[in-house]
Amino acid sequence: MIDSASERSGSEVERLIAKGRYKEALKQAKIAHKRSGSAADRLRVERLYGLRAGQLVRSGMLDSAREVVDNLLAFGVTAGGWSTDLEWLLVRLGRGRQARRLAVGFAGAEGSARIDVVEADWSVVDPSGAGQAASGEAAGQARLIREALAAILADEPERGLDLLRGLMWNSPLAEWKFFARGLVALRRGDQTSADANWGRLDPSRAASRIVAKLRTIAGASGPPLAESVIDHLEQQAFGAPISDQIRGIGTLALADQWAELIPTLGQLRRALEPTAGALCERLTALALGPLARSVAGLDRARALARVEAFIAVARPLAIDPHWNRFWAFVWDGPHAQKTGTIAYWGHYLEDLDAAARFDPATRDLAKALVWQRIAQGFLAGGGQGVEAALDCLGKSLQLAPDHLPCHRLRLSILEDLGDGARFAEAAGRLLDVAPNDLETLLALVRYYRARGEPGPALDHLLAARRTRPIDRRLVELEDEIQLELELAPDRATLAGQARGRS
Amino acid sequence: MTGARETLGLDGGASPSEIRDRFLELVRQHPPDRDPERFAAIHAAYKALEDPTSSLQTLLFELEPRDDSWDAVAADVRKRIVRGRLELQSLLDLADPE
Repeated sequence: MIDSASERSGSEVERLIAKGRYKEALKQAKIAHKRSGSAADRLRVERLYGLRAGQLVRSGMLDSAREVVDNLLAFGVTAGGWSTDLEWLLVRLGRGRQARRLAVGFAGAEGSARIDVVEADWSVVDPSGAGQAASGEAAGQARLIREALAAILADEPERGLDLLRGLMWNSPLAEWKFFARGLVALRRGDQTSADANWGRLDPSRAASRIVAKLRTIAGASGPPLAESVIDHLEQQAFGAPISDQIRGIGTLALADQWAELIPTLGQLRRALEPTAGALCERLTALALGPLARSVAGLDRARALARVEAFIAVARPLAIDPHWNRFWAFVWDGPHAQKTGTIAYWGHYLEDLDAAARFDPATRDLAKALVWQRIAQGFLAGGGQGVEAALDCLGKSLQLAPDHLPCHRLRLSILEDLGDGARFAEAAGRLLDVAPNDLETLLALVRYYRARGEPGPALDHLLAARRTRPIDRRLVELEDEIQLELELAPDRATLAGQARGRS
Repeated sequence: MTGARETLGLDGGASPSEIRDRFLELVRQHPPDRDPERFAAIHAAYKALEDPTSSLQTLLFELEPRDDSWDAVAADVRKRIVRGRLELQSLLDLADPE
């Protein structure tokens, strides 16, 4: 019965621990220990004193934390409850002497040396507090390390690493050299080098604890970290806790709340622009689709006002520095300003001329694609737009002569127009690029049959059959054309030639 | 594409197989689980070189990015915290056990 009660109590305590409710858990654990006196319950009490003290330290309640560790020391620490976290905490709270006594009791001289190292680390982390217990030599080296780290954080990595050159590798604080090198590498975006340096850190030391938290912040696996700590660091790094704001504007975009979204985006841009301009551009890119959908449901004046308000605060995309591409999309929607859309794509062609992002060949291809887009705009307008579309497709093909979709579009327009001469010329150009293009070969077969010229029709059909030798549809078509040739007596010679070719 | 070739460290004359070999080499150096930002840049550059027309079509005529999200930007912001203007003591305070 007692065992069962103890188990129930233990489960309840573990549940409270999982929720971070250490104070209540400690109270329950003490009751359970008093009742059972078991070693397991005792260990749980020791562990909870440590967890609660750590929690108070993180909340800045150092006096309360000291009270808790004093209670722990009075309760007694067993070998099973002794841990590197507890060493760290005791020294942190000015109980280094007691920590040393316990460490020596558990591990002799090695335990004492271990406390020396913890005190040295504290002289780096908190020289005016817990670090005061460190030796004079360690304190001097700690000052150097702090100066070096401050230089690295102030974007003076060379000076920072230079300061650490004098730190001997046999010093207990030499560990911080790896930390500093990893920090420099990470700040310049070299994760591999950062990992290589930080992989050499002793997991029980202060530098490694910091690295583990940095990995948690970066989204990699690591120890849990309070959101308030991350918010505080974001505040320092960017002037505001911006990752929450970014998720917030995602929600606002979904909810179509542009009156709130646009000023928030402006704040984010101001915070990110100095150090992370590329992230501002990604925010713009993510907002453009929802914005275009949003203004599609507005009248023209309100749509215009919303887009202009957005453009006033957002960082333009590198591929659309003057927003011409975006305006073309906006006026391509239900507002149906086709002429406006075409004009904006026209302006965008000029933007592409100045785009440093593209090499000359890519720029020509980009412009060819935009000309094709303009052609589609003219086609959507119908009527006289067809000739304008053909003109645009011609310009597109001058820039990208091998771009098949453009050839195909031009060909289909000319076939619909029934403009035989230009159709044949366009088909010929397409076949220069793609000699086995089945659809074009068959279009030419149709064209020549409609003109009553089965000879050239058969030539193109035979070319088509070479690409699809067992296609029954083509075999039947060949039979039909052969018949046409034979039924035309004045073309008997042509038929004979064609049979010879097949 | 100049940017894509620079990202992969290739000159203008690289053949398709050289482009692929270089891409695989860089992916080994920057796997997505360890270096997601760099991996994304390498992958985008490879796609651009592998099929420049399709890549340009997407870039020019699709308004919504296919491989990005608000959460991904927020996560990248956190990755950049350590590159920002951090105060020394805030960094060192991370040594406290959680």
